[in-house]
Amino acid sequence: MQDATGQNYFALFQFPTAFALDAAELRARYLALQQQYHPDRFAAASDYEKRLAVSMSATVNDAYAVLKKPLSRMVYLLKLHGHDALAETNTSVPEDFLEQQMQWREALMDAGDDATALAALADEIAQARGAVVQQACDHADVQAYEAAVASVRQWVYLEKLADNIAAARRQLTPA
Amino acid sequence: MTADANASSRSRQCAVGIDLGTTHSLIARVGASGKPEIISGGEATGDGGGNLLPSVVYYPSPSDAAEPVVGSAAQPFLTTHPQCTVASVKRLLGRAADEVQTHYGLVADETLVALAIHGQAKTPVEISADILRALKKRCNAVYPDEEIAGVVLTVPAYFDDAQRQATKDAAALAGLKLLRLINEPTAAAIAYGIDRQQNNDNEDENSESVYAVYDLGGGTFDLSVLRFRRGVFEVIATRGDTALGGDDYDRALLQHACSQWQVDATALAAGDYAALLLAAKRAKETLSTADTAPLQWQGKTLTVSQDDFAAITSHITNRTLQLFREVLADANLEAENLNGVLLVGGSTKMPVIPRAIATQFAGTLYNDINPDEVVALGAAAQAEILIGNAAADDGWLLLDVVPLSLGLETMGGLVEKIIYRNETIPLLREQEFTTHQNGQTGMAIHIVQGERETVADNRSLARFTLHGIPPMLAGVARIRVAFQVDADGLLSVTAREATTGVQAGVQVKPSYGLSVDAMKAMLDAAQARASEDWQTRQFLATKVDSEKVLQMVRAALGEDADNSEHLSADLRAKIQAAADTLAAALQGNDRAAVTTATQQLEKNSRDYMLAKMNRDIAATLAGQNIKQV
Repeated sequence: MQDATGQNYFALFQFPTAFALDAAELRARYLALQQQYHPDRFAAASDYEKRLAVSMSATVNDAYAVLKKPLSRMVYLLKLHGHDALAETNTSVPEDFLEQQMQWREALMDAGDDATALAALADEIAQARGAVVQQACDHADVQAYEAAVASVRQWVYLEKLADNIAAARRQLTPA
Repeated sequence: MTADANASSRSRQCAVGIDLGTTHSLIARVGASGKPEIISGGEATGDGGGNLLPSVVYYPSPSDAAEPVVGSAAQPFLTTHPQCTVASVKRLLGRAADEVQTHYGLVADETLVALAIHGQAKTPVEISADILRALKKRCNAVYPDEEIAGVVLTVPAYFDDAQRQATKDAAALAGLKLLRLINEPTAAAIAYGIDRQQNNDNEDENSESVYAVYDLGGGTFDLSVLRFRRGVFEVIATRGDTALGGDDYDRALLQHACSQWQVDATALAAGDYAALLLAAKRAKETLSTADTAPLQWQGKTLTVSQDDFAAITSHITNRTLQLFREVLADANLEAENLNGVLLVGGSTKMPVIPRAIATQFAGTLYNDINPDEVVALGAAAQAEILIGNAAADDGWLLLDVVPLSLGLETMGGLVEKIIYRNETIPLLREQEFTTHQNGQTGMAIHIVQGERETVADNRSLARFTLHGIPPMLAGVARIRVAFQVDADGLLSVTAREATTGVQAGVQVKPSYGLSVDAMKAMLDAAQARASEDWQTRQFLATKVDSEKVLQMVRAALGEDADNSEHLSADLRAKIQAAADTLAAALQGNDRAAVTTATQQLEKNSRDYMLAKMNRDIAATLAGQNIKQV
């Protein structure tokens, strides 16, 4: 979870260890670091220095990939605080959310290749996801990590469902 | 292999880009104008001349002791000496015998294809190396006082690890120093990108634009989505099919003609089939500029219109459009977000292609750089950057992705992915394993490449055997295996036991292609026939490299005070001792001693050097107005 020197990914990019960050600033810092450490910048260097550059560049890539996406960023943040939100033992979900899951699954089956129904469902899921993300952030902000983990589990589910709906919409013959 | 007799008289160094293509190959370099240009063949090279070198190699009988003939000069031998003339060798690179169909005699081997030519095994790597040598000859003929110091080779974006490794091996065998393998659509984007940059000097520093590259060659199809921002070319997603290309259009047209004439294509003699396929290809090419084309064969004539052709081949075109939609989905984009689509590859000259893309994307299609040449031109521009000839502010950075996921075989023949496609390279993943038996000292790991759930549905990449694990109780050993994909997209694996720090040995058996030992034997054989002072030159190169290592480490030590939090006295002593040993070895002529001392210094200083680079990050990020980068 940390790079070769034990620095966490937030620190690597000189950000405070917190969920909220400016995506444009993250990207700018990422590109600045790659400009500096990408192995292509070490064409005339020794093989050893090139290998060091590959390690640095790979670490920067990995850190950027983790921090770029809100879900992986939150999972990483929770892990830094000792909570593995994706652990297989961590599967309990509130009953009303389970019920809601069933309804969405059915709605997706019923929609079939009806473009309008799929679009409506996609909107609904996007809204539900927005709410869950907000919950997770609120919990993490007040160090209520176990509650944040519970929200993240719902978030993971909604993310997968959104992917499935997007895939179903891609299968539709384009107008 | 012929020794380069002029090497010593070549006083200047240059870098070249090479497009090693299925049907033809090109070499390019940045010329006096500062722009990349194709180096063509001529009288001196004896390959038939022109910008495009047909990827055809004819092997004269060994009793003639003659050099292989490459290019259009070799083409006539395809019909007169089909058993010892090789075309489209790229289709065989990194493949196994049971994966290819060919009229050549095959030398049986479960892991790689070798063609039986004049009774001797010729691997696709050796044949590709002969094409590379012919291209090298073109450069040497046009620039007699320059030595090729490095080369950027292009590969289809969708080439897997075995195919990339085979391409890299071919460069080594041809005596070319490989600076980088880059993906063909990326190379094309560079050629267009620098063009745009030169024409748009006033563009906003922070503006980003996104382009798709649609690359349909003779035998492969690649799609990439790239983001350009001043100074950075970033590949966001890539898709493709290594068995889809212009040749499929020829075959579809052939099938159509057969059904019109009520001829059974499968019953045709090989020669008749080849003639009909050639006639179909000609008709297709005529349709690039004309509204209709006659398809003539054995006294029969069929007139094919543009619409007929589109209908006959729509299943192939639609497959490319489906991949176009998928790559956009991977990139999280809608077609209207694209600033344009770049058309690359000779097959995009077919009018059906721009017409089909227009059904998906309403914006501008770019084809103003010759689609046959654009890949080599981009590769040459990248080579110039990598060799360090380009001015710093003309430079750019290329960030590419891994095209196919890498996974490990787990219980029940399932795959656990460790690296996902479209992740930016270079990248490093660590995975921890444990032992299942008391005292277990070895472990086998099977790596596969592909997107499917089961091992059987993916392509086997390699089997690694870990050995030398310290004997412990079952489940106690923690073997940390690191998978690294370098900037060429090639995988390497290292392993160590985490509790004891013991480095486990890794033995690699590639599933396809040449083993490391076989490649080494081939290189040794080639070098033995090359210049006599090969060993001396190699040792000099090793020494230069080791000098650089020594300087870098000593400079780093000079910057950190003793007993600082970054450098304990112990650590300094350990690194210093290794540095002194290397300095002593560099005074002598013992190659093994230099190599060993360099490795020891690297081992002793690695963690310290990485930590030091890491500390520099703060300076990098603080030293500039980030948003302007």
